[in-house]
Amino acid sequence: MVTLARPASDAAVIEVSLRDAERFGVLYDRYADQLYRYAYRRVGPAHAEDVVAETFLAAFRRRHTYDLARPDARAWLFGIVTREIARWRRTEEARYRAMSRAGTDPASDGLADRVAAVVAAQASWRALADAVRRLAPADRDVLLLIAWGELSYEEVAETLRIKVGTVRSRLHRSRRKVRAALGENNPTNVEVDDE
Amino acid sequence: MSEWKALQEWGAALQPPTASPVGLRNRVLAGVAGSDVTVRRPLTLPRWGWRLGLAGSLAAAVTVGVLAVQVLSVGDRAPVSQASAAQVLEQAARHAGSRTAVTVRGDQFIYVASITTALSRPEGAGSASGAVVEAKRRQVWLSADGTRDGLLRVRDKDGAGVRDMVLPGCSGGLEKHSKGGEEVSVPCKPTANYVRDLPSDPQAMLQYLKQRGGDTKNPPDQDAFSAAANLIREGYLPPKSLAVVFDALATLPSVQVVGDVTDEAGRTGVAVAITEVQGTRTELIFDRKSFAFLGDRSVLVRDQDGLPAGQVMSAAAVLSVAVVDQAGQTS
Repeated sequence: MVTLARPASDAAVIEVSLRDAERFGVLYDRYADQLYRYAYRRVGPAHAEDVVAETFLAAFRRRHTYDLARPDARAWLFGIVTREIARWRRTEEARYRAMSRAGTDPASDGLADRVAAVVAAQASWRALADAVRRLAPADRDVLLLIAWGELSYEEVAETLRIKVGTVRSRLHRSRRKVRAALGENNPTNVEVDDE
Repeated sequence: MSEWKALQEWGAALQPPTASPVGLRNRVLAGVAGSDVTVRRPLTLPRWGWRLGLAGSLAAAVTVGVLAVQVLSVGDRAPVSQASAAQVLEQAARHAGSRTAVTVRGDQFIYVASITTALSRPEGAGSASGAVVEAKRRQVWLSADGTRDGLLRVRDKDGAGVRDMVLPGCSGGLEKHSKGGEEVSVPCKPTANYVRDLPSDPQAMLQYLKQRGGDTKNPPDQDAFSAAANLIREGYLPPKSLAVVFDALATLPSVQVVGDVTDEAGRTGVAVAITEVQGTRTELIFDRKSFAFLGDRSVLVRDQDGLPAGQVMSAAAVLSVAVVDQAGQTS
Protein backbone atom coordinates (compact mmCIF):
# COMPACT_ATOMS: atom_id res chain seq x y z
CA MET A 1 0.00 0.00 0.00
CA VAL A 2 1.21 3.43 -0.86
CA THR A 3 1.12 5.74 2.09
CA LEU A 4 0.58 9.42 1.69
CA ALA A 5 2.00 12.01 3.99
CA ARG A 6 -1.00 13.45 5.77
CA PRO A 7 -1.67 16.77 4.12
CA ALA A 8 -0.87 15.60 0.62
CA SER A 9 -1.52 18.09 -2.14
CA ASP A 10 -4.14 17.23 -4.73
CA ALA A 11 -1.35 16.80 -7.23
CA ALA A 12 0.31 14.22 -5.00
CA VAL A 13 -2.97 12.36 -4.65
CA ILE A 14 -3.42 12.31 -8.41
CA GLU A 15 0.14 11.20 -8.92
CA VAL A 16 -0.31 8.32 -6.50
CA SER A 17 -3.64 7.41 -8.09
CA LEU A 18 -1.81 6.73 -11.34
CA ARG A 19 -0.43 3.65 -9.69
CA ASP A 20 -2.96 3.06 -6.97
CA ALA A 21 -6.41 3.85 -8.31
CA GLU A 22 -7.96 3.52 -4.87
CA ARG A 23 -6.33 6.77 -3.91
CA PHE A 24 -8.51 8.67 -6.29
CA GLY A 25 -11.15 8.39 -3.59
CA VAL A 26 -9.20 10.94 -1.57
CA LEU A 27 -9.81 13.52 -4.28
CA TYR A 28 -13.46 12.55 -4.32
CA ASP A 29 -13.72 13.10 -0.60
CA ARG A 30 -12.11 16.49 -0.86
CA TYR A 31 -14.29 17.89 -3.63
CA ALA A 32 -17.49 15.87 -3.94
CA ASP A 33 -19.56 18.07 -1.66
CA GLN A 34 -18.71 21.38 -3.27
CA LEU A 35 -19.08 20.03 -6.80
CA TYR A 36 -22.37 18.40 -5.86
CA ARG A 37 -23.68 21.61 -4.31
CA TYR A 38 -22.71 23.55 -7.40
CA ALA A 39 -24.13 21.05 -9.89
CA TYR A 40 -27.31 20.62 -7.87
CA ARG A 41 -28.05 24.30 -8.05
CA ARG A 42 -27.46 24.44 -11.76
CA VAL A 43 -29.02 21.26 -13.13
CA GLY A 44 -31.31 20.34 -10.25
CA PRO A 45 -31.77 17.29 -8.08
CA ALA A 46 -32.58 14.90 -10.89
CA HIS A 47 -29.27 15.33 -12.66
CA ALA A 48 -26.76 16.54 -10.10
CA GLU A 49 -25.57 13.04 -9.30
CA ASP A 50 -25.05 12.21 -12.95
CA VAL A 51 -23.08 15.38 -13.49
CA VAL A 52 -20.84 14.80 -10.48
CA ALA A 53 -20.33 11.12 -11.28
CA GLU A 54 -19.39 11.92 -14.86
CA THR A 55 -17.11 14.70 -13.65
CA PHE A 56 -15.10 12.40 -11.41
CA LEU A 57 -14.98 9.60 -13.94
CA ALA A 58 -13.79 12.01 -16.61
CA ALA A 59 -11.22 13.37 -14.17
CA PHE A 60 -10.08 9.86 -13.39
CA ARG A 61 -9.67 9.00 -17.06
CA ARG A 62 -7.75 12.22 -17.62
CA ARG A 63 -5.63 12.08 -14.52
CA HIS A 64 -2.60 11.21 -16.66
CA THR A 65 -2.87 14.63 -18.22
CA TYR A 66 -3.07 16.55 -14.96
CA ASP A 67 -0.32 19.12 -14.59
CA LEU A 68 1.37 17.88 -11.45
CA ALA A 69 3.00 21.26 -10.96
CA ARG A 70 -0.40 22.58 -9.84
CA PRO A 71 -0.90 21.47 -6.26
CA ASP A 72 -4.58 22.40 -6.10
CA ALA A 73 -7.05 20.53 -8.31
CA ARG A 74 -10.11 22.64 -7.59
CA ALA A 75 -9.98 24.67 -10.78
CA TRP A 76 -9.32 21.54 -12.82
CA LEU A 77 -12.36 19.80 -11.37
CA PHE A 78 -14.58 22.85 -11.78
CA GLY A 79 -13.45 23.01 -15.39
CA ILE A 80 -14.61 19.44 -15.90
CA VAL A 81 -17.89 19.98 -14.09
CA THR A 82 -18.48 23.08 -16.22
CA ARG A 83 -18.14 20.99 -19.37
CA GLU A 84 -20.47 18.36 -17.95
CA ILE A 85 -23.06 20.96 -17.07
CA ALA A 86 -22.78 22.32 -20.60
CA ARG A 87 -24.08 18.99 -21.85
CA TRP A 88 -27.21 19.61 -19.77
CA ARG A 89 -27.78 23.13 -21.01
CA ARG A 90 -31.32 22.57 -22.19
CA THR A 91 -32.22 20.94 -18.92
CA GLU A 92 -30.67 23.77 -16.99
CA GLU A 93 -32.41 26.44 -19.02
CA ALA A 94 -35.75 24.65 -18.83
CA ARG A 95 -35.33 24.57 -15.11
CA TYR A 96 -34.71 28.32 -14.89
CA ARG A 97 -37.70 28.84 -17.11
CA ALA A 98 -39.88 26.79 -14.77
CA MET A 99 -38.53 28.69 -11.80
CA SER A 100 -39.15 32.03 -13.43
CA ARG A 101 -42.78 31.02 -13.70
CA ALA A 102 -43.27 29.26 -10.42
CA GLY A 103 -40.69 31.01 -8.30
CA THR A 104 -39.53 27.72 -6.94
CA ASP A 105 -38.08 24.59 -8.37
CA PRO A 106 -40.97 22.15 -8.02
CA ALA A 107 -38.59 19.22 -8.01
CA SER A 108 -36.50 20.45 -5.11
CA ASP A 109 -37.36 19.13 -1.68
CA GLY A 110 -35.00 21.36 0.19
CA LEU A 111 -36.55 24.47 -1.11
CA ALA A 112 -40.09 23.85 0.09
CA ASP A 113 -39.21 24.14 3.75
CA ARG A 114 -37.54 27.42 3.30
CA VAL A 115 -40.10 28.94 1.02
CA ALA A 116 -42.36 30.20 3.76
CA ALA A 117 -39.65 32.24 5.36
CA VAL A 118 -38.66 33.90 2.20
CA VAL A 119 -41.84 34.40 0.30
CA ALA A 120 -40.92 38.00 -0.15
CA ALA A 121 -37.84 37.04 -2.02
CA GLN A 122 -39.65 34.96 -4.56
CA ALA A 123 -40.44 37.74 -6.92
CA SER A 124 -36.77 38.50 -7.19
CA TRP A 125 -35.97 34.79 -7.63
CA ARG A 126 -38.31 34.63 -10.57
CA ALA A 127 -36.55 37.57 -12.10
CA LEU A 128 -33.17 36.09 -11.35
CA ALA A 129 -34.05 32.75 -12.91
CA ASP A 130 -35.24 34.50 -16.00
CA ALA A 131 -32.17 36.70 -16.22
CA VAL A 132 -29.73 33.84 -15.63
CA ARG A 133 -31.47 31.78 -18.27
CA ARG A 134 -31.03 34.58 -20.80
CA LEU A 135 -27.31 34.97 -20.21
CA ALA A 136 -24.88 33.68 -22.78
CA PRO A 137 -23.60 30.31 -21.51
CA ALA A 138 -20.04 31.59 -21.19
CA ASP A 139 -21.21 34.57 -19.12
CA ARG A 140 -23.41 32.36 -16.99
CA ASP A 141 -20.50 30.07 -16.20
CA VAL A 142 -18.39 32.97 -14.96
CA LEU A 143 -21.21 34.48 -12.92
CA LEU A 144 -22.22 31.24 -11.21
CA LEU A 145 -18.70 29.92 -10.66
CA ILE A 146 -18.06 33.06 -8.64
CA ALA A 147 -21.46 33.55 -6.99
CA TRP A 148 -22.23 29.91 -6.23
CA GLY A 149 -18.96 28.03 -6.70
CA GLU A 150 -17.15 30.72 -4.69
CA LEU A 151 -14.16 30.64 -6.99
CA SER A 152 -11.80 33.57 -7.18
CA TYR A 153 -11.30 35.43 -10.46
CA GLU A 154 -7.98 33.69 -10.88
CA GLU A 155 -9.53 30.28 -10.31
CA VAL A 156 -12.25 31.01 -12.84
CA ALA A 157 -9.60 32.03 -15.34
CA GLU A 158 -7.84 28.74 -14.78
CA THR A 159 -11.08 26.77 -14.79
CA LEU A 160 -12.29 28.18 -18.09
CA ARG A 161 -8.82 28.76 -19.55
CA ILE A 162 -9.46 32.41 -20.18
CA LYS A 163 -7.67 35.56 -19.07
CA VAL A 164 -8.52 37.23 -15.81
CA GLY A 165 -9.50 40.32 -17.79
CA THR A 166 -12.03 38.24 -19.68
CA VAL A 167 -13.39 36.94 -16.39
CA ARG A 168 -13.88 40.51 -15.22
CA SER A 169 -15.61 41.65 -18.36
CA ARG A 170 -17.93 38.64 -18.48
CA LEU A 171 -18.77 39.05 -14.84
CA HIS A 172 -19.43 42.74 -15.27
CA ARG A 173 -21.71 42.09 -18.23
CA SER A 174 -23.71 39.37 -16.56
CA ARG A 175 -24.11 41.29 -13.34
CA ARG A 176 -25.36 44.28 -15.26
CA LYS A 177 -27.99 42.14 -16.97
CA VAL A 178 -29.09 40.52 -13.76
CA ARG A 179 -29.28 43.88 -12.05
CA ALA A 180 -31.38 45.29 -14.84
CA ALA A 181 -33.74 42.32 -14.64
CA LEU A 182 -34.16 42.80 -10.92
CA GLY A 183 -34.80 46.47 -11.42
CA GLU A 184 -37.56 45.80 -13.91
CA ASN A 185 -39.09 43.35 -11.57
CA ASN A 186 -39.08 45.51 -8.54
CA PRO A 187 -38.73 49.17 -9.36
CA THR A 188 -39.25 50.22 -5.77
CA ASN A 189 -36.18 48.40 -4.69
CA VAL A 190 -33.50 49.37 -7.09
CA GLU A 191 -30.06 49.53 -5.61
CA VAL A 192 -27.13 49.45 -7.90
CA ASP A 193 -24.42 49.32 -5.32
CA ASP A 194 -21.53 47.12 -6.19
CA GLU A 195 -20.36 45.48 -3.04
CA MET B 1 -30.90 44.48 -2.25
CA SER B 2 -27.96 44.25 -4.57
CA GLU B 3 -28.16 41.78 -7.42
CA TRP B 4 -25.13 40.01 -5.97
CA LYS B 5 -26.76 39.43 -2.62
CA ALA B 6 -29.96 38.34 -4.36
CA LEU B 7 -28.01 35.82 -6.43
CA GLN B 8 -26.37 34.40 -3.36
CA GLU B 9 -29.63 34.13 -1.46
CA TRP B 10 -31.26 32.46 -4.39
CA GLY B 11 -28.29 30.12 -4.66
CA ALA B 12 -28.59 29.29 -0.97
CA ALA B 13 -32.26 28.45 -1.42
CA LEU B 14 -31.38 26.10 -4.27
CA GLN B 15 -28.82 24.21 -2.20
CA PRO B 16 -29.26 20.48 -1.85
CA PRO B 17 -30.75 19.43 1.48
CA THR B 18 -27.79 17.14 2.20
CA ALA B 19 -24.16 16.73 1.34
CA SER B 20 -23.26 14.52 -1.59
CA PRO B 21 -24.96 11.13 -1.13
CA VAL B 22 -23.00 8.06 -0.10
CA GLY B 23 -24.46 6.18 -3.04
CA LEU B 24 -22.86 8.69 -5.36
CA ARG B 25 -19.49 7.97 -3.90
CA ASN B 26 -20.03 4.26 -4.33
CA ARG B 27 -21.06 4.85 -7.89
CA VAL B 28 -18.01 6.96 -8.67
CA LEU B 29 -15.59 4.58 -7.03
CA ALA B 30 -17.19 1.60 -8.75
CA GLY B 31 -16.85 3.48 -12.02
CA VAL B 32 -13.22 4.28 -11.25
CA ALA B 33 -12.50 0.62 -10.68
CA GLY B 34 -14.44 -0.41 -13.74
CA SER B 35 -12.74 2.05 -16.04
CA ASP B 36 -9.28 1.49 -14.74
CA VAL B 37 -7.36 -0.98 -16.83
CA THR B 38 -4.10 -0.12 -15.18
CA VAL B 39 -4.72 -1.75 -11.84
CA ARG B 40 -2.09 -4.13 -10.70
CA ARG B 41 -4.06 -5.45 -7.87
CA PRO B 42 -7.73 -6.21 -7.62
CA LEU B 43 -9.27 -2.97 -6.62
CA THR B 44 -10.74 -2.91 -3.22
CA LEU B 45 -12.14 0.13 -1.56
CA PRO B 46 -13.33 -0.97 1.82
CA ARG B 47 -12.56 2.26 3.56
CA TRP B 48 -15.33 3.90 1.60
CA GLY B 49 -17.69 1.09 2.27
CA TRP B 50 -17.46 -0.18 -1.23
CA ARG B 51 -15.55 -2.68 -3.20
CA LEU B 52 -15.57 -4.24 -6.56
CA GLY B 53 -16.88 -7.61 -5.58
CA LEU B 54 -13.85 -9.74 -5.20
CA ALA B 55 -13.31 -12.85 -3.28
CA GLY B 56 -10.43 -14.89 -2.14
CA SER B 57 -9.97 -17.96 -0.19
CA LEU B 58 -8.34 -21.16 0.65
CA ALA B 59 -6.53 -23.43 -1.65
CA ALA B 60 -4.93 -26.71 -0.97
CA ALA B 61 -4.12 -28.32 -4.22
CA VAL B 62 -3.75 -27.09 -7.71
CA THR B 63 -7.46 -26.57 -8.17
CA VAL B 64 -9.78 -26.58 -5.25
CA GLY B 65 -13.50 -26.43 -5.60
CA VAL B 66 -14.86 -24.84 -2.49
CA LEU B 67 -18.13 -26.62 -3.05
CA ALA B 68 -16.34 -29.90 -2.58
CA VAL B 69 -14.69 -28.90 0.65
CA GLN B 70 -14.68 -31.71 3.13
CA VAL B 71 -16.48 -31.50 6.41
CA LEU B 72 -14.08 -31.07 9.22
CA SER B 73 -15.09 -32.56 12.49
CA VAL B 74 -15.18 -29.85 15.07
CA GLY B 75 -16.55 -31.77 17.96
CA ASP B 76 -19.40 -30.55 20.08
CA ARG B 77 -19.41 -26.95 19.04
CA ALA B 78 -22.40 -24.76 19.69
CA PRO B 79 -24.99 -24.54 16.94
CA VAL B 80 -24.23 -21.74 14.59
CA SER B 81 -27.29 -19.76 15.57
CA GLN B 82 -25.98 -19.47 19.10
CA ALA B 83 -22.33 -19.21 18.27
CA SER B 84 -20.49 -16.01 18.86
CA ALA B 85 -18.45 -14.36 16.15
CA ALA B 86 -15.33 -15.40 17.99
CA GLN B 87 -16.42 -19.03 17.88
CA VAL B 88 -17.15 -18.91 14.18
CA LEU B 89 -13.79 -17.31 13.53
CA GLU B 90 -12.00 -19.84 15.70
CA GLN B 91 -13.58 -22.62 13.67
CA ALA B 92 -12.60 -20.83 10.49
CA ALA B 93 -9.06 -20.59 11.81
CA ARG B 94 -9.01 -24.29 12.61
CA HIS B 95 -10.27 -25.12 9.17
CA ALA B 96 -7.71 -22.88 7.52
CA GLY B 97 -4.90 -24.20 9.66
CA SER B 98 -5.76 -27.77 8.77
CA ARG B 99 -5.11 -27.28 5.08
CA THR B 100 -1.89 -28.30 3.44
CA ALA B 101 0.21 -25.40 2.31
CA VAL B 102 0.82 -25.12 -1.41
CA THR B 103 4.23 -24.04 -2.53
CA VAL B 104 3.96 -20.88 -4.57
CA ARG B 105 6.87 -19.74 -6.70
CA GLY B 106 7.33 -16.06 -7.42
CA ASP B 107 6.89 -16.60 -11.14
CA GLN B 108 3.53 -18.32 -10.72
CA PHE B 109 0.02 -16.96 -10.64
CA ILE B 110 -2.77 -17.16 -8.11
CA TYR B 111 -5.92 -18.01 -10.00
CA VAL B 112 -9.30 -17.23 -8.43
CA ALA B 113 -12.68 -17.83 -10.01
CA SER B 114 -15.72 -16.22 -8.45
CA ILE B 115 -19.19 -14.92 -9.06
CA THR B 116 -19.51 -11.29 -8.16
CA THR B 117 -22.34 -8.85 -8.05
CA ALA B 118 -22.38 -5.15 -7.81
CA LEU B 119 -25.10 -2.59 -7.68
CA SER B 120 -24.95 -0.26 -10.61
CA ARG B 121 -27.04 2.25 -12.36
CA PRO B 122 -27.72 2.37 -16.04
CA GLU B 123 -26.20 5.33 -17.83
CA GLY B 124 -28.31 8.41 -17.35
CA ALA B 125 -30.40 7.12 -14.48
CA GLY B 126 -30.53 10.01 -12.08
CA SER B 127 -31.74 8.34 -8.95
CA ALA B 128 -31.23 5.18 -7.01
CA SER B 129 -34.49 3.78 -8.32
CA GLY B 130 -32.77 2.75 -11.51
CA ALA B 131 -30.19 0.67 -9.69
CA VAL B 132 -29.75 -2.89 -10.86
CA VAL B 133 -27.73 -5.75 -9.50
CA GLU B 134 -25.32 -7.12 -12.04
CA ALA B 135 -23.82 -10.53 -11.60
CA LYS B 136 -20.56 -11.37 -13.34
CA ARG B 137 -18.34 -14.35 -13.61
CA ARG B 138 -14.88 -13.29 -12.73
CA GLN B 139 -11.53 -14.96 -13.18
CA VAL B 140 -8.32 -13.37 -12.10
CA TRP B 141 -4.70 -14.36 -12.42
CA LEU B 142 -2.43 -12.47 -10.06
CA SER B 143 1.33 -12.57 -10.42
CA ALA B 144 2.66 -14.07 -7.21
CA ASP B 145 5.63 -11.73 -6.92
CA GLY B 146 3.97 -8.86 -8.80
CA THR B 147 6.53 -8.76 -11.62
CA ARG B 148 4.46 -10.41 -14.34
CA ASP B 149 1.39 -9.25 -16.19
CA GLY B 150 -1.72 -10.65 -14.61
CA LEU B 151 -5.11 -10.98 -16.20
CA LEU B 152 -8.67 -10.18 -15.23
CA ARG B 153 -11.41 -11.85 -17.25
CA VAL B 154 -14.99 -10.81 -16.61
CA ARG B 155 -18.05 -12.10 -18.36
CA ASP B 156 -21.78 -12.01 -17.85
CA LYS B 157 -23.28 -14.65 -15.68
CA ASP B 158 -24.51 -16.53 -18.72
CA GLY B 159 -20.98 -16.60 -20.09
CA ALA B 160 -21.45 -13.92 -22.77
CA GLY B 161 -19.52 -10.71 -23.20
CA VAL B 162 -16.00 -11.72 -22.28
CA ARG B 163 -13.81 -8.82 -21.32
CA ASP B 164 -10.11 -9.21 -20.64
CA MET B 165 -7.97 -6.70 -18.84
CA VAL B 166 -4.26 -6.95 -18.40
CA LEU B 167 -3.05 -6.24 -14.89
CA PRO B 168 0.42 -4.89 -15.61
CA GLY B 169 3.25 -6.41 -13.65
CA CYS B 170 6.22 -4.39 -12.50
CA SER B 171 9.26 -5.71 -14.26
CA GLY B 172 12.65 -4.01 -14.01
CA GLY B 173 11.11 -1.08 -12.16
CA LEU B 174 8.67 -0.34 -14.96
CA GLU B 175 5.14 -1.34 -15.75
CA LYS B 176 3.53 -0.97 -19.13
CA HIS B 177 0.18 0.69 -19.48
CA SER B 178 -1.86 1.03 -22.57
CA LYS B 179 -2.98 4.62 -23.02
CA GLY B 180 -5.05 5.56 -26.02
CA GLY B 181 -3.69 2.57 -27.93
CA GLU B 182 -0.12 3.50 -27.14
CA GLU B 183 2.05 1.78 -24.65
CA VAL B 184 3.66 3.83 -21.94
CA SER B 185 6.01 2.72 -19.20
CA VAL B 186 5.50 3.99 -15.69
CA PRO B 187 7.99 3.60 -12.83
CA CYS B 188 6.81 1.18 -10.21
CA LYS B 189 7.64 -1.14 -7.38
CA PRO B 190 6.37 -4.69 -7.57
CA THR B 191 3.51 -5.53 -5.25
CA ALA B 192 3.48 -9.21 -4.39
CA ASN B 193 0.09 -10.86 -4.59
CA TYR B 194 1.32 -13.79 -2.60
CA VAL B 195 2.37 -12.52 0.80
CA ARG B 196 4.72 -14.77 2.71
CA ASP B 197 5.89 -12.82 5.71
CA LEU B 198 2.71 -12.07 7.61
CA PRO B 199 2.76 -11.90 11.41
CA SER B 200 2.35 -15.30 13.00
CA ASP B 201 0.77 -14.10 16.23
CA PRO B 202 -2.86 -12.82 16.41
CA GLN B 203 -1.98 -9.64 18.32
CA ALA B 204 0.78 -8.74 15.90
CA MET B 205 -1.54 -9.59 13.03
CA LEU B 206 -4.16 -7.25 14.42
CA GLN B 207 -1.64 -4.43 14.62
CA TYR B 208 -0.57 -5.18 11.06
CA LEU B 209 -4.19 -5.13 9.86
CA LYS B 210 -4.94 -1.86 11.62
CA GLN B 211 -1.90 -0.30 10.05
CA ARG B 212 -2.71 -1.70 6.67
CA GLY B 213 -6.22 -0.32 6.94
CA GLY B 214 -4.71 3.03 6.10
CA ASP B 215 -4.92 6.58 7.28
CA THR B 216 -8.66 6.84 7.57
CA LYS B 217 -10.94 8.33 10.18
CA ASN B 218 -12.78 5.04 10.51
CA PRO B 219 -12.73 3.18 13.81
CA PRO B 220 -9.53 1.07 13.96
CA ASP B 221 -11.54 -2.16 14.23
CA GLN B 222 -13.31 -1.33 11.03
CA ASP B 223 -10.03 -0.65 9.28
CA ALA B 224 -8.61 -3.93 10.55
CA PHE B 225 -11.64 -5.87 9.40
CA SER B 226 -11.51 -4.22 5.96
CA ALA B 227 -7.83 -4.96 5.63
CA ALA B 228 -8.43 -8.58 6.58
CA ALA B 229 -11.23 -8.88 4.05
CA ASN B 230 -8.96 -7.45 1.37
CA LEU B 231 -6.23 -9.86 2.25
CA ILE B 232 -8.33 -12.98 2.00
CA ARG B 233 -11.01 -12.15 -0.51
CA GLU B 234 -9.30 -12.65 -3.82
CA GLY B 235 -6.04 -14.41 -3.32
CA TYR B 236 -4.26 -17.17 -1.58
CA LEU B 237 -2.68 -16.91 1.83
CA PRO B 238 -0.48 -19.55 3.40
CA PRO B 239 -2.94 -21.61 5.53
CA LYS B 240 -1.19 -20.69 8.76
CA SER B 241 -1.38 -16.99 7.96
CA LEU B 242 -5.05 -17.27 7.06
CA ALA B 243 -5.70 -18.96 10.38
CA VAL B 244 -3.91 -16.14 12.19
CA VAL B 245 -6.02 -13.56 10.35
CA PHE B 246 -9.17 -15.26 11.61
CA ASP B 247 -7.74 -15.54 15.10
CA ALA B 248 -6.95 -11.84 15.02
CA LEU B 249 -10.49 -10.94 13.92
CA ALA B 250 -11.87 -13.14 16.70
CA THR B 251 -10.45 -10.69 19.22
CA LEU B 252 -12.46 -7.76 17.87
CA PRO B 253 -15.50 -7.11 20.08
CA SER B 254 -17.38 -5.24 17.35
CA VAL B 255 -17.48 -8.25 15.02
CA GLN B 256 -20.85 -9.96 15.08
CA VAL B 257 -22.48 -13.10 13.75
CA VAL B 258 -25.00 -12.88 10.95
CA GLY B 259 -26.75 -16.21 10.58
CA ASP B 260 -28.17 -17.76 7.44
CA VAL B 261 -26.76 -15.84 4.57
CA THR B 262 -26.82 -17.10 1.01
CA ASP B 263 -23.91 -16.30 -1.19
CA GLU B 264 -23.98 -15.54 -4.89
CA ALA B 265 -23.46 -19.17 -5.79
CA GLY B 266 -26.57 -20.10 -3.81
CA ARG B 267 -24.67 -21.63 -0.91
CA THR B 268 -25.92 -20.95 2.57
CA GLY B 269 -23.50 -20.09 5.27
CA VAL B 270 -22.87 -18.22 8.43
CA ALA B 271 -21.24 -14.83 8.35
CA VAL B 272 -19.23 -12.70 10.68
CA ALA B 273 -19.59 -9.03 10.02
CA ILE B 274 -18.66 -5.56 11.04
CA THR B 275 -20.97 -2.60 10.70
CA GLU B 276 -19.20 0.31 9.14
CA VAL B 277 -19.76 3.94 10.01
CA GLN B 278 -20.68 4.51 6.35
CA GLY B 279 -23.91 2.59 6.90
CA THR B 280 -22.86 -0.69 5.38
CA ARG B 281 -22.05 -4.05 6.87
CA THR B 282 -19.25 -6.17 5.47
CA GLU B 283 -19.80 -9.88 5.92
CA LEU B 284 -17.34 -12.73 5.59
CA ILE B 285 -19.28 -15.88 4.81
CA PHE B 286 -18.27 -19.36 5.93
CA ASP B 287 -19.60 -22.81 5.21
CA ARG B 288 -21.87 -23.89 8.04
CA LYS B 289 -20.20 -27.20 8.54
CA SER B 290 -16.63 -26.94 7.41
CA PHE B 291 -16.15 -23.23 8.14
CA ALA B 292 -14.37 -22.85 4.84
CA PHE B 293 -14.42 -19.26 3.60
CA LEU B 294 -17.06 -18.92 0.88
CA GLY B 295 -17.08 -15.26 0.03
CA ASP B 296 -18.24 -11.89 1.23
CA ARG B 297 -21.03 -9.36 0.92
CA SER B 298 -21.61 -5.71 1.64
CA VAL B 299 -25.12 -4.89 2.83
CA LEU B 300 -26.82 -1.59 3.64
CA VAL B 301 -27.82 -1.36 7.29
CA ARG B 302 -30.06 1.67 6.97
CA ASP B 303 -32.20 3.23 4.29
CA GLN B 304 -29.85 5.38 2.33
CA ASP B 305 -29.85 7.09 -1.04
CA GLY B 306 -33.23 5.71 -1.91
CA LEU B 307 -32.09 2.17 -1.26
CA PRO B 308 -33.62 0.10 1.52
CA ALA B 309 -31.77 -1.35 4.50
CA GLY B 310 -30.78 -4.91 3.63
CA GLN B 311 -29.91 -4.07 0.04
CA VAL B 312 -26.82 -6.04 -1.01
CA MET B 313 -24.38 -3.54 -2.49
CA SER B 314 -21.81 -6.03 -3.65
CA ALA B 315 -21.03 -9.66 -3.12
CA ALA B 316 -18.61 -12.31 -4.18
CA ALA B 317 -18.67 -16.08 -4.00
CA VAL B 318 -15.40 -17.88 -4.47
CA LEU B 319 -15.68 -20.91 -6.70
CA SER B 320 -12.10 -22.04 -6.93
CA VAL B 321 -8.56 -21.04 -6.16
CA ALA B 322 -5.49 -22.46 -7.82
CA VAL B 323 -1.81 -21.82 -8.29
CA VAL B 324 -0.88 -21.97 -11.95
CA ASP B 325 2.12 -21.28 -14.14
CA GLN B 326 0.55 -19.04 -16.75
CA ALA B 327 -2.06 -16.28 -16.74
CA GLY B 328 -5.14 -17.66 -18.46
CA GLN B 329 -4.54 -21.19 -17.22
CA THR B 330 -7.23 -22.59 -14.95
CA SER B 331 -5.67 -25.81 -13.76
